[in-house]
Amino acid sequence: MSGEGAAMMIVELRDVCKEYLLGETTVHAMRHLSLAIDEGEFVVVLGPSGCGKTTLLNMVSTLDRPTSGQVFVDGEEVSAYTDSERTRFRAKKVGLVFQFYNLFPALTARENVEIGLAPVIKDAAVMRQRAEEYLRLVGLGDQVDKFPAQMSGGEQQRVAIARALAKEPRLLLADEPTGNLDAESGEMVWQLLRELNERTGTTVIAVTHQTDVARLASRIVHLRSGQLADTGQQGAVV
Amino acid sequence: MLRKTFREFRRIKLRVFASMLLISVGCATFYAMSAMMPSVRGSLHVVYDRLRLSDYTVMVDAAPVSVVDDIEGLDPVRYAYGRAHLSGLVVVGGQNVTADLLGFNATSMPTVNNISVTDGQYLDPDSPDSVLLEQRFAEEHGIGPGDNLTVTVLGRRHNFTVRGQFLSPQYVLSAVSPMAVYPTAGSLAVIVLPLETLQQLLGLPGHVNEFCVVFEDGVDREAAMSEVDDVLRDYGVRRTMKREDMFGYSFVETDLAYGDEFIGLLSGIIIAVAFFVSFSAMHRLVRTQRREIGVLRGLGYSQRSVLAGYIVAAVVFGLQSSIVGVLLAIPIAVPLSQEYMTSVSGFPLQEMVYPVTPFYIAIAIGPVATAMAMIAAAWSATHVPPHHAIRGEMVDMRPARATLVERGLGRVGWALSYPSRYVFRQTSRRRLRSALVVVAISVSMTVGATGPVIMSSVAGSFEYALTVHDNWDFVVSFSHHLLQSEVDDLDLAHAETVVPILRSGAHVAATSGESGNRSASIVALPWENSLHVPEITAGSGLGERGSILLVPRLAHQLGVEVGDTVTVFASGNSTELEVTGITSDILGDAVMRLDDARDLLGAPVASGAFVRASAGHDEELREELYRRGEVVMVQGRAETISGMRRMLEYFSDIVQVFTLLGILMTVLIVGNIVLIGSLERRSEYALMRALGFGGRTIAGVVAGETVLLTVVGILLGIPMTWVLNTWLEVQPLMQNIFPAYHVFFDWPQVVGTGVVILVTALLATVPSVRMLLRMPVHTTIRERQIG
Ligand SMILES: Nc1ncnc2c1ncn2[C@@H]1O[C@H](COP(=O)(O)OP(=O)(O)OP(=O)(O)O)[C@@H](O)[C@H]1O
Ligand SMILES: [Mg+2]
Repeated sequence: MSGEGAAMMIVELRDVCKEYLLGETTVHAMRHLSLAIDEGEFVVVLGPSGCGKTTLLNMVSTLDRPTSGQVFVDGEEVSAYTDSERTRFRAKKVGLVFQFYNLFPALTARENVEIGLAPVIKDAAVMRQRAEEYLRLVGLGDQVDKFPAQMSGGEQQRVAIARALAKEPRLLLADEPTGNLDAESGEMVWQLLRELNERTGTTVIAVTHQTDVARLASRIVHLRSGQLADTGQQGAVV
Repeated sequence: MLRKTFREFRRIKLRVFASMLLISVGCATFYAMSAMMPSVRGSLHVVYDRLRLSDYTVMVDAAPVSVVDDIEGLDPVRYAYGRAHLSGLVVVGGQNVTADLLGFNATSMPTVNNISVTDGQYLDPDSPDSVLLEQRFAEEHGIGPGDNLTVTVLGRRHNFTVRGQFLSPQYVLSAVSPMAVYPTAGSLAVIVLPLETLQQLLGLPGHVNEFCVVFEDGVDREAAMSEVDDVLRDYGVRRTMKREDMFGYSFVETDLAYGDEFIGLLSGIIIAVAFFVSFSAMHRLVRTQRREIGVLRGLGYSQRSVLAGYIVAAVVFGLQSSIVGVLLAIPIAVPLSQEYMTSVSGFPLQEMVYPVTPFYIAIAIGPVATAMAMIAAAWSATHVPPHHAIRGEMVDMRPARATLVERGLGRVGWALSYPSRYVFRQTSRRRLRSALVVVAISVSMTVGATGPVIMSSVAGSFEYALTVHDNWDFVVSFSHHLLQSEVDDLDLAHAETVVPILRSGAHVAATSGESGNRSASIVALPWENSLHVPEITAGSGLGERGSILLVPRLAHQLGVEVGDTVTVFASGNSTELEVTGITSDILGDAVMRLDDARDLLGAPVASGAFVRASAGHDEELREELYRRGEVVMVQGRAETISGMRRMLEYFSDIVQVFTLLGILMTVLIVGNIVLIGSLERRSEYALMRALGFGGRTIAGVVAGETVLLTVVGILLGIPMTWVLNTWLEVQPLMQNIFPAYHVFFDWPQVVGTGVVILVTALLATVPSVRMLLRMPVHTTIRERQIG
């Protein structure tokens, strides 16, 4: 895939820095990072703890702003968005999956998917149909009315993935989606993500500690101390 | 062990702080109110002592001034004072108003029933036409030093100049004319004149007609009074009055007694609220500590010792809150007492009393509430099933059922939007907390709405009494008792009916009973043809001659019931009458037939009359009445109602405390619980933001939950208000304050209270919403949730 030079660029980070102030000291979570990701890619971000993987996802999802530099998605400078523009951007274009606490305990599996659609789809029937379709896709077609408390961790993560995908986003961002799962369920989740990436063509950026996931990636990004591991190069390609 | 628990308290300091604050405010309110009552009572007694309020007052036809020395010579008498006392009329705003004229020695202040000159100067022997006017009457009518007063005494007009204003311990509360058929504010002018001036008007130089006596401490009052009576026997005793029978004195004393009951109610409410709020904080603490408690147990601590640690910590925090509250109470109590004292008596506060028993109670409220809350919380925490305890240790994963509202709406094909659905689910998922908020709000609503309901009921009861039982257009008081023939001679061109009435002071005793006699105001009516029909609450109306109706308080004091016989003493005569019914009439303490009363008094007299105008001639009749010299006061229906309302204004200050309390409770409860809920669910809110819901939606969800619970609480509070007030209606408390008390719901006011509570609740969510909107989404979302 990496050979297809004609693929459209979907995400671009230009010289992004992110600093956190921790009392007197400044933490450099990201140092002059530049990175471009093409549409349809399955990017796996690897690196030691604290190297800035989550920060990278936060920049792209607009959950956080860079201290300097720019972030573009679909050619728009999302890092310059106002709060309400960010909200709309997330609602429309980004699907998010976190390590834990992805679901609302008060809502059923189907409702947990629907609530992710609510900001973009107003028609209740369409919403319901879409939610059930994606729950079937992640293999939970028969568990739509279960509450999170009645499901296993792996099932819960699959609901979260269904929610992230149901809105048919431009980007799916997953931060250690299997960090809380046993190896077997974890493998299932990764397979699912890859499969969906291939089937729907949704661009996926996934963060993990598990180096063996690398084999699924169309591209691997190694981070170290908020920089690309092999500095100077625009994204290390396998 | 203890140190660990304290550290945990510090970790949830916001919640602990909120409950501590509530306890402190509760204790402060309680102790401030507890200090207010004895301070006002004590201050009044300081005023009574300083100005020497008479223990006994005797009115005679006339006696030389020197008789005072004979009375003062009696062993049990400490001070005696002779003065001239005469009724007259003063013209205010074109109308005659009853005046009590008191003749004092102009060279020195009275030794008994002294006055406090609040503006201007005391009498001057060299200016016989300078007089002093009672302050509250003066203020009601806007009369000050330098103004002229036209006074009618014994049918002749005299002009005086106001030299100053005064307050008298004899006329605390407000100057209300005992002559007025319905007591209204500003209906009695008390005027102090030089004794010589009044003696001249009376045509009795060197004489006085009233003796005021203060006894030595600890003497036998009854014996002392009869010694005084003996001295005055030859001068024609017309009326005697004990201190307890003085209108202002007895009213204020009973009013203060009701205040004590009110404080009891207040402290009950405060303890309940303190308990609920502490419970919510303790409950969270115990739940989050479940695992650690397990570890401690594993280390070999017994369950009891673990629990004891928590309780001791809770008690320490409760005690601190109480102490802070009591310290806070002191600066609150002073202005509160000052305000109450002046509204009740006109006099400034004389002393602050800090009562001991309420002090201990106030100190105990905090630790008792927190200890109870901790025990309840620990108990409920140990009753969580173990699998929940293990699984729910990280995340509170309790499922929620779709609420009834949701299912109902779903059935009619209306799906709730996600933010609203989330609100409903949260409230049903956290059923205990939701119930707590609803109960607390409904109590706040009940407490808050009861104030306006009591006020509207008091006002409504008057109006009700006047519409249902009364058929007059004017009620008039005569300057002196008129004979029936004089009443007939009034010959009012625009009057359709004139019904004479007689109001008189008398003593009433149970014919067979040991309870002694009571002074009472008696109202006599021609029962068959009256424009005023007293309401009967038990038994029946007046029968043939020889019957009487009593108000509940008097019946209770005398220990008599319907069917018993009482003896009425007046003007040296007595008569036995059968109690045929209990009445809630507001004209007097007892109602009897006019013919019976005339037999008792020995003359066919009337002290006033109900007058009905011929159709459409109300105003002409009013003019006509104003022009009659023998007519002292003319009260139309509207004036009567508004006058009585003004009388009760000071009462409304106390009633407003209820409303404030309701609002305060709402702020504390909603503020505290919403904040706890928001803190707990902040990752959920962050997740919503991550999913693309805007800040406004989050604010809407928090506010929506508050609105939902508050509205349910308010709706529940409305029937509760109804129940509480219908219950209060029949309580002796209300019946004693106001015999004709009926509950009248002023719905706009009740709804208004609901709106105020709702707005208050919404304002109380502002800090939580601000906190949620400021939280950084990307870090909050990753926080591990502890349910
Ligand atoms: N809100 C914050 N305040 C201060 N420092 C922060 C904050 N968020 C992240 N950091 C710091 O920025 C650096 C990068 O953090 P980041 O969360 O991106 O690491 P990561 O690669 O995701 O680590 P992990 O694998 O442990 O999740 C770390 O040193 C971290 O301590
Ligand atoms: Mg991370």
